[in-house]
Amino acid sequence: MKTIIIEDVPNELELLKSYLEKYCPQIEVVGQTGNISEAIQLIEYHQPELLFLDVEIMEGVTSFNLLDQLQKRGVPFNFEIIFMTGHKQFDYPTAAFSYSALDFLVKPIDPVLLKKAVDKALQRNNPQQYVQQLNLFLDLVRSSDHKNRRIAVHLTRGIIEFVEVDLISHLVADSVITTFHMTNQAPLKAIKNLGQYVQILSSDQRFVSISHSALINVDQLKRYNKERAEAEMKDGSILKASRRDGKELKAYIDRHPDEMKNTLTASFVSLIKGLFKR
Amino acid sequence: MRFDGHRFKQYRNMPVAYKDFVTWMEKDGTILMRSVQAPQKLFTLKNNSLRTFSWAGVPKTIQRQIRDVSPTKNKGEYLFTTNDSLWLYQNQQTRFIKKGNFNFFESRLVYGEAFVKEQLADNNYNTWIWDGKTLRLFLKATLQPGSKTNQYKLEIASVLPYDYVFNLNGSTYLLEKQSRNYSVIYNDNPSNDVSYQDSPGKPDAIRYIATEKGLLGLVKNGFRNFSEQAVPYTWSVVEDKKGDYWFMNHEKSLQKYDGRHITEVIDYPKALNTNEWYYHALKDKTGNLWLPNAKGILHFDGQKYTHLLTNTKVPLAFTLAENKAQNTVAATTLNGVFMIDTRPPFKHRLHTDTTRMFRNLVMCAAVAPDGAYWFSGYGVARYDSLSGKSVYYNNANKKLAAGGIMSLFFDRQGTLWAGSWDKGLFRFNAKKDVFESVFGGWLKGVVPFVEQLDANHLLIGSSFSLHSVSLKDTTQVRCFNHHNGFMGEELGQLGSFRDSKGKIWLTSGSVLSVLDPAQLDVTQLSTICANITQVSLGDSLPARVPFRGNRPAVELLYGQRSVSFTVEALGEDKPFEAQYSYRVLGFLNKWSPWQTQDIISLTNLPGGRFTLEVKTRRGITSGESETTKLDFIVSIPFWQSPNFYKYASILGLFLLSVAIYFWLRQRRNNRQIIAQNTQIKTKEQEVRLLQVQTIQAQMNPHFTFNVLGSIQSLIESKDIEKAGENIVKLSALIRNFLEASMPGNDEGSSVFNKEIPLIKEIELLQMYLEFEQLQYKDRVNFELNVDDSLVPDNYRIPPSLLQPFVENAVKHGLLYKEAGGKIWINFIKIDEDTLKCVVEDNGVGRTRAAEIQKGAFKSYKSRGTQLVKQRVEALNEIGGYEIDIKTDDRPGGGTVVTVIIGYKQ
Repeated sequence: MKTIIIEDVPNELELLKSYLEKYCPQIEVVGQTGNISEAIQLIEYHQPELLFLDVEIMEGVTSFNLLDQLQKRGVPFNFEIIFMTGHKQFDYPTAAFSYSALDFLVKPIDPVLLKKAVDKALQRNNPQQYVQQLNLFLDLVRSSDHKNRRIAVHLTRGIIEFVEVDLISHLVADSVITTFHMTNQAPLKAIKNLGQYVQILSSDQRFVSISHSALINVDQLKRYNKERAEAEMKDGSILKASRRDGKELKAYIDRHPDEMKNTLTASFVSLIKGLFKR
Repeated sequence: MRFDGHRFKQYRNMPVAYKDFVTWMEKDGTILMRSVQAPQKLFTLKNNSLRTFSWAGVPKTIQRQIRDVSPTKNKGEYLFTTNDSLWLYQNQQTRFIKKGNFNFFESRLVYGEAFVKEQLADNNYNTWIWDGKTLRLFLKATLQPGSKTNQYKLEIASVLPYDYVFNLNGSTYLLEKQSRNYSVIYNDNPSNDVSYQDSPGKPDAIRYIATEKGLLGLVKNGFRNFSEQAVPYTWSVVEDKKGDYWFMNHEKSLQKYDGRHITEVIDYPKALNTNEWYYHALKDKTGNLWLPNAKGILHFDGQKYTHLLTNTKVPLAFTLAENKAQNTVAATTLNGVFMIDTRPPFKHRLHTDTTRMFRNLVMCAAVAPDGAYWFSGYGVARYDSLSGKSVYYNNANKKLAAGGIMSLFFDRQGTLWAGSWDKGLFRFNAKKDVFESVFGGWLKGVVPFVEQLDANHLLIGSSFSLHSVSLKDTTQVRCFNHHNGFMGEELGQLGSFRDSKGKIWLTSGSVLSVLDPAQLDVTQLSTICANITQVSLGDSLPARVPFRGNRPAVELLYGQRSVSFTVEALGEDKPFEAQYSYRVLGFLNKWSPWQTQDIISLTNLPGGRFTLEVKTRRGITSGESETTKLDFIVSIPFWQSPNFYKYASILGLFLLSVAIYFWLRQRRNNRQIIAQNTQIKTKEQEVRLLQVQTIQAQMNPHFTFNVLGSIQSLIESKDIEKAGENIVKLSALIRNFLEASMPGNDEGSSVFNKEIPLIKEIELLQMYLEFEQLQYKDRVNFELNVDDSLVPDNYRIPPSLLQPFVENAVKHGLLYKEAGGKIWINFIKIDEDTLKCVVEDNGVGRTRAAEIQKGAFKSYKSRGTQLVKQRVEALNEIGGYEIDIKTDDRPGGGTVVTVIIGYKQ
């Protein structure tokens, strides 16, 4: 399997190469570089099947620039990419990985995980879907306003569906399955835990967890009954809120009174508040 | 306008010119209204709709001549008159009945029969009856030629099957059923409008007659009134020896009455050719009659008449009094008093002096029990005929505060009463030698006579009424006037005469009456009650309100703020001088001053429901009636309410204070929120610090360098794979440390709700324990279990909460034991919100650990658990958590730490 490694730290490069030799003998490293323009040339020349891509190639320049340029040059993404980063969860691109359901390796690299990632890349059977994931990823990385975001949802049998985040009403966990309730289509059964989606969507203010088994989009919330701790969604579903998360939802509603003027009291209070706002 | 006793309704389509109506009601409730101003205008009112009666089918020429309309017993059938004929209107057809000058003096029907009056020449008339089919003659009334008093001869043409009451020339007559006998039952009714209501069955039942003065009930009482036709203008009454009564009718006649028949006395001397009879004829102690006259005195001894005072210059005898002891009759006259011997030849002398009284007509004479004479006129004089001395009482010497006295009377106690012509009644106070006004000035005007009723009561006359007065306290007991049987008006001077049977004869300017005190309880105070009779809006005609019972509230028209109520005092005697006092609950809460006016006018009323309360009293007594009440409702636009501005400003003030209240509350809340936020911030910082400190404690140099040392030894022993593996683990721990010590990026989320997935915490615990295993090999064993029902991916908990307890278990549990031990970590789901984590070790136990620590020179000081406990406190306090940490000894040695992570309700 023709592989190109793009990594600017020589030690890391050597370590990765030695790990690959040791644990993934099917990998044939045909090129290696820490420079973007060189990387483009190598990719165009070798047409690799696999790319190891360090997210932070150089100061201020990331591997996303590389992908961006490849896309602009019309180079097809007909190769697998294994991203590598030393950060994990500290900055924005990691969220983009999550949204587009792309795997990445954290440095220092755990050989076990490396082997798994390579195996997965070798077994890829739906390149079309993978390209979509990459495109989504690039869209997310490029955009600054996070609008019209989509999320890649792992369905059964390896299918990934790209879903508009805005159109998600709520997510309900059923053990290890998470059901996406959509405003525009039938529910989707995702094979990931709800906790992972909670983590992914935690950067989106609209998504509030109301219990261990439910995450809601407050834009789709019709009313919240505090006494009975029940959230009624616009599609008519009624979701039980847990003690803790019900409070959080209440806090959210209080923080965003303009969005939630459902109760008479709320409207009266806001009227009075409006009267005395100087 | 229509008033049903409750509400007013205004009909606006009525021409204003026709404002007076004669109304009657058909059996189906239709009200017919004939305009007085335009008789041909007939209106029907049914179901609240007012229509003009069209007179369809009546020729226009006849329509224009319609003078009067009367209902008949048939619905839609009316009699009407034109100038020369009587017609029937029936089924839109006009039927001529009879020529003549007809009018309907009765607009109501009597037993379904309409009475029609036909005016004839010379003030004669006929009365006809229309029974629905035919017209028949009922009564012919012919004026008696030469009669001074307009006496009619009545001829009953057809007998009636019912008692019938009718008016003729001011008197009310009763024609008994199936009879041609009629009698006068009531004298003083100026109205022609007398209606006879059905007579109840019992013979002595009250007969009711509706008159212009109200409803009369005919009852038998102690009064008998002679009609003016029979006995005209009697000024004096006297009884002769035989028991016959002599009526002296001023300028009319002298009559004698034997109790059955009245005959005119004409056999007295022709020299006395005048009927100018005066007051207080005498029957002297021998029974002879003395009749005062303008031409002298007519004396009658039962056999023959003697005309006295014929030889005097002015023979006028005005009033008479007998001095029985001195056999003298005193006759007052112009400029003095004749003192006349009661025995023939009736010698007389004129007593007079130069005082003002004796220079005028002397009005009255009386003889005291002691034989002294008392005269009155302009003042009162006491004259002692034996000594010839006189004492005077008048305005000038301040012994009598009246302009003049017209009557003097000695009661049985010998007290002298003096009735003035201008100032009411006086009583002589012998001790003080002055006349004192009685009744507190209530009886203001003329007191023409005073009479003794019985031992304790006087009968006093005033202009229109008789008053029975208690001698004990000089209060009125009863009052009689034309409302309750006494028909006299302008009572005669000295006009009372007590006959031998105890009856009291009373003269007046109208009729002669006789009162039998035995038939009438004159000593029992009768009750009086107030009544609200009518209501009137603005200047509209008054409308009757229901008489009694639960009458509904009167609702005024919308916007009407003025109303008048007519009140009356009801009692047997319906006193003239009744006084009224009222109040309006909710408007004028104080009783008004007593007023004699019987109209209560209220103006500028506010809106709302009010209760008018009225009470009445007789002027002379202090006894008040009970109050009568009537509710009424004023509806006005709210801004016309007098209190509108008051209430509006109160409301404004209220709104303002509500606004201020909300503003203050808002401000206070804001301050509270700021204070809370500050507190939360402080706590947050504290928690963050504690968290970092916890991780620092985890990643303490001892641990870190031990791990690095272990990795080094792995490299040394060429166990490269294991070394790499451990470096990966260490990097994960370091990453966790870095993450935890960095402030969160999310706005709106605080350190309190910063949580990590449970799965991650479990991973970290596992890594930590693997490092310990790396160092201590077999001395550290562990087993990590997650409840099947728990999806650790879906649970989140505050970071670094459990590790210090695990570390504690390793360091102070297992490592104090030579052989080491085992740690069990179990995660159990309690409910949707609550998670239980049990860290169990089979080490030395708490007690032993403490002992070892005490004795040890160098100990692994783990601040971790302490820091966690502090952080938990803060999280529980501010973060809404309910985290409970419990440490117990493990049965069989070791320690159990139970951490329950839950949330507050």
